Amino acid sequence: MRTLPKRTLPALSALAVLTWCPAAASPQGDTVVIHAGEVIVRPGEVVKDVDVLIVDGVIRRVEAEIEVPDGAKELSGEVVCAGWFDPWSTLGVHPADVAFSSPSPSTRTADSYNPFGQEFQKKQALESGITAARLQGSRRALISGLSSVVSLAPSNDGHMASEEAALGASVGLTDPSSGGSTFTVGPNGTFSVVESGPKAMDPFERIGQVDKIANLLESGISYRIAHNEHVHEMEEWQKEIAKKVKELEKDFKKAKKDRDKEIEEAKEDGKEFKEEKYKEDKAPKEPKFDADKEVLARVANGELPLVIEVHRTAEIRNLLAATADFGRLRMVIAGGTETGAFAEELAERNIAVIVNPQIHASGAFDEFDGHDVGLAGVLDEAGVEVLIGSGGTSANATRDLSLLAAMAVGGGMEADAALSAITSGPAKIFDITDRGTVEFGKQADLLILDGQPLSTTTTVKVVLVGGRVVVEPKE
Amino acid sequence: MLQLALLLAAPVAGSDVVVVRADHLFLGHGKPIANGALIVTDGKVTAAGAAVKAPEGALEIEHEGWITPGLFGAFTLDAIGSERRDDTRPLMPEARIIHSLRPHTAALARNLRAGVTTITVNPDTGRPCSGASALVKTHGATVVDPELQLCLDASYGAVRTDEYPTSLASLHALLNSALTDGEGSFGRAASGELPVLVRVRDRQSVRAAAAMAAAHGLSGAIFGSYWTEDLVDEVSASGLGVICDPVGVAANQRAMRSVLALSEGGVKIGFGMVTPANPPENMRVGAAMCVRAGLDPNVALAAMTGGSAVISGAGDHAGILAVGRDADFVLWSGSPIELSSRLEEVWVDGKRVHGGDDK
Repeated sequence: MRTLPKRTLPALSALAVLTWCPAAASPQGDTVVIHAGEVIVRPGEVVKDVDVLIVDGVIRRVEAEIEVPDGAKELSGEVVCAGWFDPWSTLGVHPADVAFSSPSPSTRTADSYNPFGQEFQKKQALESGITAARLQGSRRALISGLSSVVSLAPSNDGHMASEEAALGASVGLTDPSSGGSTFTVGPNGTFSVVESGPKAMDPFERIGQVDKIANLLESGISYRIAHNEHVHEMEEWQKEIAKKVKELEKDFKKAKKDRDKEIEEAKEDGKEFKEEKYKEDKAPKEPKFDADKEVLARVANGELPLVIEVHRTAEIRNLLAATADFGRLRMVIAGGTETGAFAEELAERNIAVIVNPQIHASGAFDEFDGHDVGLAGVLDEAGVEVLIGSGGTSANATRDLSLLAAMAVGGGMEADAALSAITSGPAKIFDITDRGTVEFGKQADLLILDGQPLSTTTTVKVVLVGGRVVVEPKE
Repeated sequence: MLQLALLLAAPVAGSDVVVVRADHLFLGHGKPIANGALIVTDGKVTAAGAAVKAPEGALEIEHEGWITPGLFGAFTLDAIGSERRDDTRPLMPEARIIHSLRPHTAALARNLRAGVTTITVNPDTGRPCSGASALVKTHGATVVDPELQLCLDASYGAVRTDEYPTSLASLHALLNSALTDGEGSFGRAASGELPVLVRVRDRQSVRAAAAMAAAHGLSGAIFGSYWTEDLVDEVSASGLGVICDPVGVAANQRAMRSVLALSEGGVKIGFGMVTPANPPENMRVGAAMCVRAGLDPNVALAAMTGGSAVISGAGDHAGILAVGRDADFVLWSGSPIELSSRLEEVWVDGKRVHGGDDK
């Protein structure tokens, strides 16, 4: 049989796509039964006097009076709820990576996450009930790179729940190192130094940033189109080749004879034998791989959420307008100080908002001028998916997530909505589908509390991550 | 919240009587009283407690939630603009910050909306003695006491490189000799008549302030709790209370541990405000964070009200609901220690000045 030109096969193998699959919760082997006064299955859905059965790190049953299997560990407590998930954190990311100002879209916070770093802060967070966090480096950069979701279990295995959970971005954030001192010369030749604090970004530059983000998304789409076209071209090409093969096979014997003869003749003449050329030999050219555009394409196509920190009305308005045509984009606004006025549009377009209810002092950067602790309540009331995050600036703040949620309630948010904003909400928005609720099949990231979740006087008694007790009950 | 305002009869001619009942009434010290009530007559508290009988003709208000005294804002730099400190002399014992007061500033209104009805207006720290603070109501900027505390700084913050005192040793020598000489306000401080507020910033200055108070018989408070964790015994022996550094979200664990240690060591504490650099709403956040770290919720409530007022020298005027006191109080949807609780109304001198129907 006549062989095809040898360049055919490698081109095909290049099409193989490597997909990364999150490892399933590593089996811990332990069987645990929790006897609970009440289980908050999901915010607003409470079951009284039930047991929770956990096998191999996964919730198997939530029922009354489960028979305790032999050798099972037994725990009990008043309230059991899903572990808390900080959707906006820097816990475990080195401050230099948080401050890094020139990442590219494909820069991954996962690569700067140190599972052994900031041990003390992670321990505090775990003891306060935080079992997962979305980490974002390079907060102030226009494009901050890919954020990751980690489990806070004190172990170096299975800590990464999603290495690429979202693409981060920001618009109009004040650079704390801007400003400084300027010299002025007085009329009699004396110098004086005027010190000024950090300067807010120029308004035109801020709006320019919105355009840049839209352009980047556009470039991602073009990239994806080029690649998709290439796939079709390859398919067409394969068909052409198949056709040609069939055609050549028809008088294969004669062709082989002719070819052998030509080889023989070439040998006799001392010439090099030249294979016959076919137009099908030439493979369609594959567009160049570009890791950054690949990420932008995934974002524009809705495969990854885009989390944009933006605060002021003008930028929010422009951002909403500039992204309106990206039908598949899954946008999440972080901070969103002045999003209250856009609540209806956000609800309609399914744009979630990560609110940080922390109160700012009067000296805060001007993007926070419109801060109102009532924001989370206003957005939730309008039907916007609200998440509550610790703000992505301080590793310590993640520890205080439940207090931030309580502050949102103080500002008018429903308590169930605030609890969902730190449990099932972040899990849903960042595609961590195996967490966030206390249901069959979910990973057992659970808290045993001695009171209602958002109360100041409630203490976290036991924390389980993947069915493993990581915070022991204190006597 | 369901609030029932029943006007049973016309108020007694010439006097204005209001009875406010609530599920929980905290008087500024001790434990909250279940189903307590306050009677307010002409702006003053005329009865407070569980078994309170409403006089005929009083306006009765049923509140589902908590009543506390108006919060006490210890150490603020509010309403003084840039007139915070005079850098020309290390000792200015006769300076009175009240002369810099600008009553019409947004800071006072912001305090009021946060439930803070009385504040101490302080000169800034950073000088060995910067004069006397004042006690001011946030509604109407009423000056309650123009000479509240003598403000001292025993920390490296008051040490200069180019001007005496140039070392902590000379700073402490300067303050000790002024207290020994006992002239003017220093004399009143040394006799215990005028309370002091001594800024500390590290363990060294905590120890120096405690020793100075013990040696001269000072009353009042140290300002700065962060480094007191290991020095509780010395602080306790000094007789001074501690106005705590503000504790906010993301604070280091030491901040809460120190407050807890002080309280467990029997030291009277109050939560400091440090407004406007720190938002006034943060006082409740700090209290909640300390409670979560183990502080008794009732101690935390007192540290926002009566306890704080007492160690600031304002115990006779603010932070406590008792017969004869100004009726300055706040209605909350739940305990103010719970951050999920909402501030619903603020009353000053027996009048509702924030919240309620017109909020």
